[in-house]
Amino acid sequence: MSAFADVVARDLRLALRQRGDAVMVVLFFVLTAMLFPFAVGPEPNLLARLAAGVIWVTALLAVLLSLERLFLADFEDGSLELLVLAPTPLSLTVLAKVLAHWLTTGLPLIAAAPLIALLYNMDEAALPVLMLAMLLGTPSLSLTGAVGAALTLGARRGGVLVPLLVLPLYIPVLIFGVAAIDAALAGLSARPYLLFLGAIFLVSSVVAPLASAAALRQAVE
Amino acid sequence: MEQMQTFLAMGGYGIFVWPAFALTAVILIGMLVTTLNHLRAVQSDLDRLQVPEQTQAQEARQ
Amino acid sequence: MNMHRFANPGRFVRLAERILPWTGGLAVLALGIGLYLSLFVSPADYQQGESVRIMYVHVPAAWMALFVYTVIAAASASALIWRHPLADLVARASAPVGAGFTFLALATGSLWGKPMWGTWWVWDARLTSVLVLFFLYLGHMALSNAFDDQSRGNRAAAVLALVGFINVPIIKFSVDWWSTLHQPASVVRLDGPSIHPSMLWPLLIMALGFKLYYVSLLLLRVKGEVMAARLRARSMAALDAT
Repeated sequence: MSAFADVVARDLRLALRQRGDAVMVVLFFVLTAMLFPFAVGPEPNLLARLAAGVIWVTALLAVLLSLERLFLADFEDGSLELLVLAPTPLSLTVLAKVLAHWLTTGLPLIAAAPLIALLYNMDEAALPVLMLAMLLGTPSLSLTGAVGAALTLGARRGGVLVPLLVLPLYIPVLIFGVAAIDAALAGLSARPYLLFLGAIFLVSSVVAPLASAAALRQAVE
Repeated sequence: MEQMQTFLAMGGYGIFVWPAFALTAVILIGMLVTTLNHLRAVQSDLDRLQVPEQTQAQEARQ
Repeated sequence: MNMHRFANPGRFVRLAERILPWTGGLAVLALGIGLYLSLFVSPADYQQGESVRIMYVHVPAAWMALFVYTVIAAASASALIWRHPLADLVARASAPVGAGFTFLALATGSLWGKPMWGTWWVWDARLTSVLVLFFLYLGHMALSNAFDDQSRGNRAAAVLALVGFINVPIIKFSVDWWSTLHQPASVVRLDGPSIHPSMLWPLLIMALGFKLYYVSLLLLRVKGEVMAARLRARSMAALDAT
């Protein structure tokens, strides 16, 4: 278990040293969300209706943007081989790296989401559900994204490949993430959608580390 | 002749029914043709590689 | 080492050449009969009129889209677990064919939707899931061709196919849920659960024809992949020799 904590601590230290990356992700998130009013017009009711969807879509894209640094640095400097050969199960190491990734991207996104909700004139009553949905949904994005990042290590045009591999798999999180907020806005119970988000999180926290570990082994072979 | 026309018209839906069947034919036949072309290309490359090897062997024997 | 590696595929090629005339002939026969039945014999639908005939190519294509993905997932599993050299090739050879069927399902669905719904595209749960499946195919194909070393591409694509296969029911379920949230349930059902035998038989024969076509094409394509692998090994050897 201490190996797990070591990997998390190491990745967090690295991320802290390159603070720019995490800041860029949040900046991208806010900036992209800011574009929509220019595209569809500033009508408050329309923006309030769009808020949930815009927040989730831009969050998906922001996470996508950050996936590359999940394994690439380790792959290039050879430390990935050490992680693969280490006695700790590789899937556990992947889980640790994903946790560090989520702490440096998912968490800042959740913190920035209320700001966008505010800019979009979203009903404040739905804010807790928005935060809860993102808390349950963004870890799945990091987990699923890790599979895509691991599979494309060493690939030609790896950067453009990741969205093609990962975005279709993000659709369920998007659907239930938005549905939860819409339900809260309509005064209905968001519970079923939050439960689905939790179920997706559970499934991907089992499947994604195993698949990523297999992909990483192929990458260093 | 008239029968033919009513058949082709498909009760007014001809412009949807016929493209659907034509597209099916194009895709099914197209995939078959590209596969056969690829097979033929690989086969001829294989043959070409094989021929020099044999001539080399003959030269070596002489 | 090469002998060991290709002993199995070599036997496969000989077997394929023996089976091919049968599957190919039966495919032509089934597709011919199916075409005749669906265009001339089957009745027009009382609601959808003659446009219902699109079903006889649309539904088999959609079935094949799912079936081929299942084949790819099964082949990928056996490639990863048993390292069977043919399994990789089956997955690799199937992906473009599956993508072709998926595209066909989308395009014919659109051609059927225009007279039924009045638009070329409706975000109907069924069509949307097929669209997502199409992107899963494209991702699989792109990944398997993204590496200089083809076997690395095959193995990466195998992992992706398994992850995708686990996700297909989740995506299908969530898209269904999403569609019921946003649309009234009164959308015209493309293929209802109860279908008259006069329409069911042409459909089943067409589906059989599609399946036989796929099997024949798969045999040809795997044979092509085996020969291409042999070609790569030989040109490597020729390079080494010089």
